[in-house]
Amino acid sequence: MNIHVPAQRPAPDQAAAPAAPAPEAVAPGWGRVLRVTVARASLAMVVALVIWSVLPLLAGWTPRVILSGSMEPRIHVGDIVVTRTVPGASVTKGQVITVKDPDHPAKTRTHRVLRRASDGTIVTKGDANPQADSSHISNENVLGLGVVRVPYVGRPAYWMAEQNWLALGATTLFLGWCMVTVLPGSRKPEDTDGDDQNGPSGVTRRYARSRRAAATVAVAAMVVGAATGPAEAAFKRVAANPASVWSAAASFGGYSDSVLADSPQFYWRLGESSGTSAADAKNGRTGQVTGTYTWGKSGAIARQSSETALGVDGGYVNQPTSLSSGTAFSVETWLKTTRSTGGGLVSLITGTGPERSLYMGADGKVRFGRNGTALVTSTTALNDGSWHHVVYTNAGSGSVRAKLYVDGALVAQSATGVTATTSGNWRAGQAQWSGNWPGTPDQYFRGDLDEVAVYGTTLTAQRVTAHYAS
Amino acid sequence: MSVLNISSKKLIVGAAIPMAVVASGAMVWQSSYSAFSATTASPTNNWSAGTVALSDDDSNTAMFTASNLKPGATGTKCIAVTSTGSLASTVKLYGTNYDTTNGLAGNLNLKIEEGTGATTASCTGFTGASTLYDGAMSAFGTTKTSFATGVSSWAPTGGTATKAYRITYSLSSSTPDSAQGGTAALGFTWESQNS
Repeated sequence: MNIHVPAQRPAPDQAAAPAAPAPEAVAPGWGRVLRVTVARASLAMVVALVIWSVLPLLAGWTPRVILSGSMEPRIHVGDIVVTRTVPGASVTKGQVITVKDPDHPAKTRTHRVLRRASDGTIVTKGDANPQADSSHISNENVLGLGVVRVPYVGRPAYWMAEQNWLALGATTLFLGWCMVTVLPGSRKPEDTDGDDQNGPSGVTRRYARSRRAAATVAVAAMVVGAATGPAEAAFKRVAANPASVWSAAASFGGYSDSVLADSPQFYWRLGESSGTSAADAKNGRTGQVTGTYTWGKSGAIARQSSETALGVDGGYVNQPTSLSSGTAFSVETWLKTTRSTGGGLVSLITGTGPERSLYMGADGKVRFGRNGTALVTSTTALNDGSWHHVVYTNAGSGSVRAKLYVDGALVAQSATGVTATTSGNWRAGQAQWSGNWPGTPDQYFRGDLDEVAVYGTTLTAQRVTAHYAS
Repeated sequence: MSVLNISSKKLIVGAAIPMAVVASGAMVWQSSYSAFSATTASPTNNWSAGTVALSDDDSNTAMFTASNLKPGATGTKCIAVTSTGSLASTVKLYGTNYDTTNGLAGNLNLKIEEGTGATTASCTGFTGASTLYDGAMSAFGTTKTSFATGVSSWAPTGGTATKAYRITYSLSSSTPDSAQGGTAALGFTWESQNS
């Protein structure tokens, strides 16, 4: 601690000079004593603190200036924290460590160890922060363990960073005053009863001391500036919304629930694995399957992969029970094919041929027609190998009576719909055409069919969309 | 009298330096002790150093409590987050308390947009959206978990600044039946750090 002494008190060879005249001289006033004491103590304090903060450099320890208050009230802005290199694995709860800032590259952070996370990383927290740091620290990013805290010395660095010239200037002025005050020559203007008799030699000594004092402070400032790292610590605050909760329905039910909710006359899910029967999921109107067909094809409802489909290639499903079909009705099916032959999808058979029919033309477009006249035609071909949801709705009144939906969206409509009530047998997959139906369809639809339903009501657009979406 | 006076004055002046050195040592020891040996103390709020501060308008109510969800279900809410700190800062949004059962979160899509204007949960007046995240809730919950991994590049410069966040969830229409009865939980946390 004696390093600074030459700057503060007379050198040994000069010690006799101020002492010798003292007895003859009138004692300095108490005001002078107070000023010199304050100045000496202040300078000594500053230099000592500087030494405290740079001395650890000899041991390979690292001083850093704290630039944010996230460790208040234990560590303040402008403090210097000296850290000792330790293995990251050795740090324990409660210790203050300096780490590579995980959130701000090239910065460091000095926080307290809160705990070890389950994956072994270190959870840190600023004492002034209400919450722990969200980014955890791995062992190799621990730069050091805090061992010495030197208060105040880093304030100038903080003021520089904050551009607080007022504080910086005031401190410089005060230290300058201290330096001038401790110099013997400074007594002259204030205490003419001092050692003005020193003459030229006093002036010389004054300059020598002045240079040494200035050099000491300058060196100390440079050492502190060079040795200490920059910003530290990290303030954090969070605004947290409590955990939101989503829970799924116990049963999605999904497509079949949507269909059943609209009370179809019959609903063939076509999910059978074998046999000649297609069960009706609504009213027990079982369909009879004949011709060439394959059960267990990949189903139309994507999320219900267990619900399979019926592949037809010269086969069809027939409703043996004759049903009356009026002017308010709807026909719904899923279809998938790559063929360009068309064919009957869902038709009301009277005698041998269809009276009304949802069918695909050879061009791949889906139509709904009655007795050889198409009422609506889809705008695009659907024989693209993907599943498509097709719904035709017929209303007995209103300005638009015929509507065709593909994949949940209305694609065609007509003011003219079916205006008669007819009884017949609904059939999926085949229709024995009489006359020339637009689109020159084959009688057999060749591809996959799924979820065939016929309603005695006019489904609304909302319901059709809901079916498709569910 | 005069001699005694001079001696005591010399003593006082001479003692100033050793006393200061001893005092500095004591100060460093005390500082180090309180900083590194003691446990945390309750923080005070009168720091001259400045602060960061962040708040939201949720009244501590979870944004979403959605039950009986079926495929295709969707919902949207907005939240306003206000920074009032005096320091320049950066704000990140990340997930907390993530949990899921039956894989529901993997089928929930989460879209987070950052904008301005909305002051109510209903998103009235929300404008200037930029999408911060659009993907599976499960991925957000497992990868966006901290300031370092969070989303947003909002950097308030100090003073009062507000951003609105529009959060939309949707349950995929192709959600498998295996997710029936499943649950998902996720908290949204905005964190501000001084930059």
